[in-house]
Amino acid sequence: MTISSEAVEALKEEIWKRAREKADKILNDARNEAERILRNAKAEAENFVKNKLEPEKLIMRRRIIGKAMMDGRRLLILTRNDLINEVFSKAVEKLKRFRESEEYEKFLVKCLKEAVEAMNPSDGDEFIVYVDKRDLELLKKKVGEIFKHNLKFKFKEGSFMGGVVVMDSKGKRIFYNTIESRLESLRPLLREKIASMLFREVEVDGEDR
Amino acid sequence: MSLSSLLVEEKKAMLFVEEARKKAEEILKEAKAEAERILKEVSNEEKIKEILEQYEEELRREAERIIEKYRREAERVRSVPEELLEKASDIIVKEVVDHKFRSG
Repeated sequence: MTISSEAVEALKEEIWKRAREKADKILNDARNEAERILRNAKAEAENFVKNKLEPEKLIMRRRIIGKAMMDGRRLLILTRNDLINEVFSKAVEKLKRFRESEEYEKFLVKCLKEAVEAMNPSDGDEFIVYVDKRDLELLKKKVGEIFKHNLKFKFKEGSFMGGVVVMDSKGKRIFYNTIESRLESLRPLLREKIASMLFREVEVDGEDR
Repeated sequence: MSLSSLLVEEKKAMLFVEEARKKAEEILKEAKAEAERILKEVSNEEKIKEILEQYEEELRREAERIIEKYRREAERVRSVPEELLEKASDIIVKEVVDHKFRSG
């Protein structure tokens, strides 16, 4: 049997066409499979990292960054507190000198009046008034001009920056109206007021820079 | 040209396919080895320790930046002008002197 050379060539081409197709398919399949294997491995690795490393990283972050934030805030709070305390110290010095001013007498009278009136006095009531010894004579002299009711006062020496402490004669009610007690009563409100004044203005300055 | 030459050609083509098959096996072998390396790397205790140590270093640097930010803020707070402190203390004095208390 003889085959023409054209037929042989055609057959050869067909043999190689099929072989190439087969080889291409084998290689493509292998590449796809390789990609799938690597994709799966990466996903598995990511899962492992997510499940094992991420929780540990989160704990570490909370510990280290959390502490830094806390330390930083504490530093800021302490600095602000120091500054507010400095302002209060300055105020105390000024309050100590306040007794030397002209307004002090008026203030002292106001303190006594406020304290006595807070106890709803009536005629004949007796009160014990504690007053700094530097104010004793002044207040004794003034007390008769202050009240409409006929009240009795016993004066005792105290030791404070200024103002008075008034107690009813039975010792049941007591009204602290000294400079110190007024300062302490107002301290929480004043702290807020001063803080907002100091730090708001600082922030505004900061924004301007 | 004869049938025998076709057989030779057929054999060559088979070898060609066989080569491709070997190459495919090589590709798969490399992929499996790479996959194994990836998985080994993440599950390796030493590697995990190293990753965590590196992360801790990063966190420490970040923490230092945070603290530094607060230090600067504290410095800015401390730089309040003296007049403002005086003004604030005057406000305290005024409140203490002028405030009206209603009861003990």
